[in-house]
This record gives sequence, structure tokens and C-alpha cells, in this order.
Amino acid sequence: MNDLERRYRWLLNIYPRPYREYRLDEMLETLLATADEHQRRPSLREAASLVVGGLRARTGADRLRSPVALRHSALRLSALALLVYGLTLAAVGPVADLAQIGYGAPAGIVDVWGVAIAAALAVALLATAWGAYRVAFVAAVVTVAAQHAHAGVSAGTWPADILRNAGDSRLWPVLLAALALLPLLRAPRTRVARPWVWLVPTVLAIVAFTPSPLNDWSDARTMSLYAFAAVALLAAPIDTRAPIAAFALLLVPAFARISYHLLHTASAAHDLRVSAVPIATLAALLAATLAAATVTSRRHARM
Amino acid sequence: MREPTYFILAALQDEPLHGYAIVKRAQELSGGRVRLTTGTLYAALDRLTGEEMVQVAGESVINGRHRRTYELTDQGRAALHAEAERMAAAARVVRDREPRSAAMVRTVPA
Repeated sequence: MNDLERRYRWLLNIYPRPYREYRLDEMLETLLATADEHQRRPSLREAASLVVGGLRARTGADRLRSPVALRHSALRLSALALLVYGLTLAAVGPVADLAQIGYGAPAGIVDVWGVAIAAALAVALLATAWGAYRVAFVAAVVTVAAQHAHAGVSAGTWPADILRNAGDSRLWPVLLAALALLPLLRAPRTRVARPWVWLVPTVLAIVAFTPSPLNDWSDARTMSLYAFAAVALLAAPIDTRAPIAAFALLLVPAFARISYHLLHTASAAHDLRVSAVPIATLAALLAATLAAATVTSRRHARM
Repeated sequence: MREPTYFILAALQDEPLHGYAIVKRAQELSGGRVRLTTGTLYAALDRLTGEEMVQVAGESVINGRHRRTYELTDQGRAALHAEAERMAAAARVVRDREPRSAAMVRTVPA
């Protein structure tokens, strides 16, 4: 085995094992036959196409052939991303309470509502991951109702003014996830290989490593969304579902911000100090992810 | 249909070929324009096999390695011909145009 073959074999590890078992021999033969006589390293062009092909095979993007399958999978991934994000926001309170109990605080400090909401949200997330969309939808609707009731009761506005809390970004992810799940209730199931195994850790890692309520930046709820959008834009050529899921996530701060302004402008009791930079950043990212999703899904539709 | 897909199907019109032979033939047929990378070729073959346009014609072991040859299916041949017709019709729009008179050509603004 020469250097070139060894390097190509190493590069081909980027493909999943079942794919390699089927294709390794013929891919290696073609790679070596197309190489120059004295070539010792993989060409940049070949290496890039193997990386893209391998990642597409691993994420399952290469198996989404029809527009129906793409739509189904994009809705599913958007719902998953929204539920993961919603869970990170909902879990902050209960996790902090449990940590305090660990330090000797009385068990009575636990907010039962907060735990119940996080639990219902976790059920919705797991049910979506396993493709049980009816269970997921019911759990999501229960979560939304509980979140609104909880926020309303805490603010003393329940049930007279349930829209009062629409400016709170914690209340939007599960509502949007329920809307994404709605078309999946009737759609025939298509086989897509475990893409959530990639998505869930990616979203969690981004939330954990960027300023977010999970690592004590309680008012930085959008930073991780912006980081996810940036990653999704880079991943768009490999997987057209990434910018679609990022767009769905960015709708959370967009709707929360719009509702906040509408509610407070109507009451005119607050002096709204509107800063243009966050709004422009959000609008630019919404436009960029939408454009990336449109361009890559059109490309996807052409053979 | 994208150009690489068209030339992969066109490469298989005459006889079943293996991966490297498809790359060479597609390059020849396209006048050197379509230079398929191995990653692109096998992604396309996976897709075309899934759409039943191409099928595995045979498997053999050469120098200890499995080698598959691929051939067009009837569906693939029909899709290739339909695409060729579409491009020929598009070409006719330009080629078969009545040449304008010399006077008209001269009136094009400078």
C-alpha cells in the first residue's frame, strides 16, 4: 500500500461504516486511477468532495431525494431544534433549584410548575426524536398551556390577559415546535437515518459554549441562536435542512421582540429604548438563513 | 438535469462501465468540461440507482478489490433522451433563426 492509498483510506473514514463496507474498494480504485503517476497526496478537489460526500452520507442528507422527504425532514429537524432550545431555557430554573438543594437549601424551594413544564417539554422532545409525532404534539400543546398559565399566574394576569407574556422569548420555542409538528401528524413517514443524533448534541454544545442562560448569562438568550445560524450557514451546502432549522429558531426572538413592542406600544406606559443593532442583526440573519435555505433546496430539487 | 448527471448517463449509453471508466468517458464526451471527482461520481451513482435510472450490471474482483460496473436502465435511457430533446429544442431556437438583413444588423447602436 503506497502513501496515496493510505491517505485516501484515512480520508474515506469520513463515510459511515456501512457505506464504506459497500463502496470502499471501488472508490479507492477510482481515486487511485484518476491520480497522477507520482502523486503522493490527495488533491484538494478530491479531498473536499470526499468530505462533503461523507458528511452528507452521515447526516442522511444524501437520502432526501424527493421534495416531500426534504420538507418532512426539515420540519422534523426544526421541531427538534426548537424543543432543544426551549428545554435549555425551561430547565435553567429547575436545575438552579436542584443545585441549591445540593448545597443544603430546603427542598421546598423547588418550583413545581417549572419542573412540570421542563418534564412535559422533555417528553415532547423525546417523542419527536422517535417519530411519535402525535404524542409529541400533545406534549407540546400541554407545555405551551402550562407555560402561559405559569407566566400569567406569576404576573397576576392569568387568565384575564394571556397575551401579556407573549414578549417573553421562553414561551415561543414550544409553540413554534407545535406548529412545525402539525403537518407531520398526517404525513406518511419517510425513513431518515437518525439525524437527531447529530442535531441535538450540536444545539446543546452551541448553547453550552456561547453566552446563554445555561452558563449564567441569564439575559443572553439569543447569542446561541446567532451562533447556530452562523454554523447553519456554513453547513448549508452539505445539508439544506440546517439553514431551515436555524430560520425556525430565529423566529423565536423575532416573534418575542415583535410581541413585546406591540404590547408595550399599545399600553404606552413604557419608554421603549429601541436599539437598532440587535434588530438589524436578527433581520440580517433571518434573511441570510432564508436565502441559504431557498438556494440550496432549489439546487437539491435539480438532479 | 445538471450537466454532470447528464454526462454520467451519456457515458453509459453504449456499454456498462466501472467508476473510473465513467469519469474518463464523461470527460471525453463533454470535451473536458465535466471532470467528476470520486465523491461526486458515487453520490450521483447512489442517487441515480435510487431513482432506478442506473443499475449495477456486474461485480468482479480485480487485484483483490471489488469492482462494480453500471448500466443504464430503460428509465435512465428515457430520461437521457428527454433531456437531449429538450436541449436540442432550446438550441434550435437560436440556430434555426432567420438571419436578419444586413441593414438591420447595421442599425445596432454603437
